[in-house]
Amino acid sequence: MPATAAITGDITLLSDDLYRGKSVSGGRPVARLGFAYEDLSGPYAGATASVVHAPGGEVQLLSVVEYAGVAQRLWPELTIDLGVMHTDYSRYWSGSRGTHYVEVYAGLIARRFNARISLSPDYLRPGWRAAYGEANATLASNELWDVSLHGGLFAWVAGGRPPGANRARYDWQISGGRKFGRFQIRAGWAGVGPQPDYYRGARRGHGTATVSISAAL
Amino acid sequence: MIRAMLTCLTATFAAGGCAAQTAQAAPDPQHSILVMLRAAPDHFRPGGNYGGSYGDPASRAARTRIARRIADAHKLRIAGDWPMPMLGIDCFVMLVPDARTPEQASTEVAHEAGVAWSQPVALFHGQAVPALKPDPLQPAQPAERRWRLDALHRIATGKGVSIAVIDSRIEARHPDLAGQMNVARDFAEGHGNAAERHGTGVAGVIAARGGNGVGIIGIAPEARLMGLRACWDNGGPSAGAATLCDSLSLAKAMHFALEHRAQIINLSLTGPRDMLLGKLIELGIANGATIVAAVDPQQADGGFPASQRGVIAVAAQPMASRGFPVYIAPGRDIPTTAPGGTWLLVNGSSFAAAHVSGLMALARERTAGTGALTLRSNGGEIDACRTILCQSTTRDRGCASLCPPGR
Repeated sequence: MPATAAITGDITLLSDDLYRGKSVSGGRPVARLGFAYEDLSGPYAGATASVVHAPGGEVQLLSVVEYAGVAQRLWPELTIDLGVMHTDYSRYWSGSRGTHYVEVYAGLIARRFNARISLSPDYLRPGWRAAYGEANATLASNELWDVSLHGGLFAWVAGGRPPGANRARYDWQISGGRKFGRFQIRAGWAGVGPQPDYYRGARRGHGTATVSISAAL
Repeated sequence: MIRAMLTCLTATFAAGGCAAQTAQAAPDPQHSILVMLRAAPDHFRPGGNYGGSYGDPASRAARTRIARRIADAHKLRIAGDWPMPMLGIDCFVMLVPDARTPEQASTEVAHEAGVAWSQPVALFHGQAVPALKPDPLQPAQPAERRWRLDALHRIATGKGVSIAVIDSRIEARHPDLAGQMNVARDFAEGHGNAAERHGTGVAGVIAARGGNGVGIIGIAPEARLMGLRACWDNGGPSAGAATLCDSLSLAKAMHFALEHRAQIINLSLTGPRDMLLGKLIELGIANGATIVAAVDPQQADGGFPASQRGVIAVAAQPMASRGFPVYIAPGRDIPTTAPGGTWLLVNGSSFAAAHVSGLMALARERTAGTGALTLRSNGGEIDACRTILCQSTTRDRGCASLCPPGR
């Protein structure tokens, strides 16, 4: 390991794994482990694996995500970030067979605000093109606390989409976090629309409360 | 699997993860060094409730592992860290437990890969001269005579301008300072919570309330102060107590001031040239902040940070050239606020610098923050009226005619 690079790791427990406003764990708790390689000059690569505590008590693999990119500081308070991500969802989420997709993304990161756009040529199915744009802001913070706001817009761009799905949907979340050394506890309220979320076929509604605890390794 | 994850979390918790992030005693300059590790740029990281997470504890934990490796290799002990994202570094305090000097230890560590630089912890001193006798407040402030303060305040009062006072603790509830501070932070842990003379006096010169029927009026009575305590009065509340600060406490306060967009930064202190502070000052000036510092008349080069390029260097008395412009402002027999809701007379370039910080706030109000401020003369006695009215030669053509004769 060159001393100009570092391996980072983190572990997170979530009450519900929401992705772009929709639960991918069906409201079930999830544990996620992530590792990344970061070079001081900007390139990075990493992977996360999530498991879900399924109904019946068994633990099943939920998803694996691999990603790589390069981040460059443009100014002391502005970084540009470009990368590619590959996501694999297991049969727990997608039903009879797993699904996977690739996305490329570009983002800008400032001190209290960041925005990113992601584009996929094969979102959930080959040929289904989708785009997602999001903005995240830290409304208030000090060394221990923060209150953050997220807003996102997902759109099926071309090539098809799931039956009955709207062409576009939005999601948002407001959350607060408290650090305890390496740990952080977060609680938030997330929403999605215009259609409500469904948990394994059951209508869930437009809003969800979430809690998570994470630790840097 | 979930149980294994919980076990891992619990172990990390038990390994000291619960320690408060920033609780750390002030570093002992005789046995401490600062080691600046480069931080990788922020980047996307999957996770979080919105599918991505920027700015994270995982990178900080990785830097801590690197710092531990360096500390072990050089027989040092980590005493804390303070990320400074505006400089792209994480500043680690490391104790030197043996007979090595801080200079020796920092030279050894500086060559480690991943270390941007290392430096000893320097001590800085406030530039207040002890009053010859504890006189009560006198009604006439020198700025009233030399700067025509009443006339200046008909032009500007510093309304809406933020001024960071990086100094010892300000008495925020003083009758002449109540409501003037919108931020109060302490970066000099372990030095008590009592209000202190130097910072309270500097704040009073800059922004004491006007029209409240008591005490004095500050140069910029409607400015908003950030009270950033990075110094401490060493020796208690006595008139002769020295005001001390160190590299790390000052750097933390400077970083905070820059992050929170302080428009004016007052540094009524002096010490040895310091790389960490120098970089932060450069960054602040590049971002349009006006930085005012007190000159040390005992130093041939005027002391640091007054001697840093771009800093407005201020003294209370005319002096021989130091190779850079030195501006003269009132700094003798200055009535100002003091702890305990009192007022007293103070002396020194600390308070001359405070006058100039207030004056630059008046000028900034006039320019509505459009661009860097300059003082019109190449050092010497400040013409306060022209400083405020003549910031822009195109807008204020003929401004000199608006100012009364003399100063």
